[in-house]
Amino acid sequence: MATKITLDKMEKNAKQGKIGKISKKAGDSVKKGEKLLQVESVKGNTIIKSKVEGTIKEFMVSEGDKVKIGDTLLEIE
Amino acid sequence: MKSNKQINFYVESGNLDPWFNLSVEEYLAETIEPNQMMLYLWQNKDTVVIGSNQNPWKECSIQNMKADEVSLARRLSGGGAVYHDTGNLNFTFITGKELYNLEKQLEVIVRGVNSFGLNAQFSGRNDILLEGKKFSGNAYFFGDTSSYHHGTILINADMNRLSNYLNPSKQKISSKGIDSVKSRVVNLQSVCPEITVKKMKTALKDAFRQVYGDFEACSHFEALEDAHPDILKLYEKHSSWQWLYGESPSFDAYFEDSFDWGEIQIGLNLVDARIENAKVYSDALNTGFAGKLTKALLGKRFATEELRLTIQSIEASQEEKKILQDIALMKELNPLG
Repeated sequence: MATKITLDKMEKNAKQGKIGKISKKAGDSVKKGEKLLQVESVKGNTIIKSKVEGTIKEFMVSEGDKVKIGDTLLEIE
Repeated sequence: MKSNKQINFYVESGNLDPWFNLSVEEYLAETIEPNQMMLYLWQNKDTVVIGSNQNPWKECSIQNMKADEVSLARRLSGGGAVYHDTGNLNFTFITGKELYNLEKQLEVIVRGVNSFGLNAQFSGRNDILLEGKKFSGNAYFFGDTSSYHHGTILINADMNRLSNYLNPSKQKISSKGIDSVKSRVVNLQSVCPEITVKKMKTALKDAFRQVYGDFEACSHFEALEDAHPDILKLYEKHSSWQWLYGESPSFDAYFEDSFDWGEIQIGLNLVDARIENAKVYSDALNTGFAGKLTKALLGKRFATEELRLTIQSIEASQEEKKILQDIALMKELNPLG
């Protein structure tokens, strides 16, 4: 079953941010704790790491996209 | 059992190499305990430091930097490009996640600066200002277990050099990353001549003690060869092409030039600073080279020497070779780094 990785919370209660560097692509296998992408807000840069092990099914966002809390970033299966 | 009591550390680097200093910073952030708070002071010799999600080709003039031996560095925090020299003092507050408190950290800086009789204030937009002009830019990084807040303090930096290296006039790059914002800046020494880097370090240490209490221990980093193996490993990363250039978010680049055989336009899509797509347009009578050039460019790094050698080693007819040689030596390809 695919696991959706959503933007649950941003540091220091930032409301929105911009997708920075995406370190992986669809089809890549990832381990728990591996770096997936960065989200940058005016409050700072946050690294989003994988909470599960699996293969990246799809990225719902691209570098430079604006995102807000609750947005789905990618799916891992 | 570990104590929950907050432990304060003072860390200083005596090395002016930006890659070393950023490696130490990252090492400290990776190894800090939840109850620890560090004040780390460091200086870089002539360097442009870009934000984590920035593109060096867009933000700085790599050609001017190379000519003047100015280093390029990429930090982990967000925000825009800044120029550092030894007239600038950098500070970093590295903390366990729970201890991170921006207001309190800023209070240390503002208190330290105001101990010279000044009236500095945080702008709310990541800058600390004096009479409306910025002397300190701040940026933030949030890891899994630790966070850091770092910033610059302009004391007597060379403001004239700044514009030589930041914001290149030729905008041939459209990046998906973060753009820099130009600010009106001021050196503290121009307002208060008694301020020196040395005095500022002492003032910041005193202010830190007033806000957080005394330091439990102090450490000093100096020589790369004496550094912990983990710092050496981080240094390899910070000094690598892959980190400095390859970590740029995807971007597009465009070049054009005209020669006696015709005009050429090259459009590139870059991912991890490697050419993912290339489009070559030319009004030359001989167009055979265009397909060969497109094919040869795919997958190559966006780096001057590599592209030049790639273009020069394409198998082609004598006439095409001459055209390709002109393209390889195109002026616009020179600043690529």
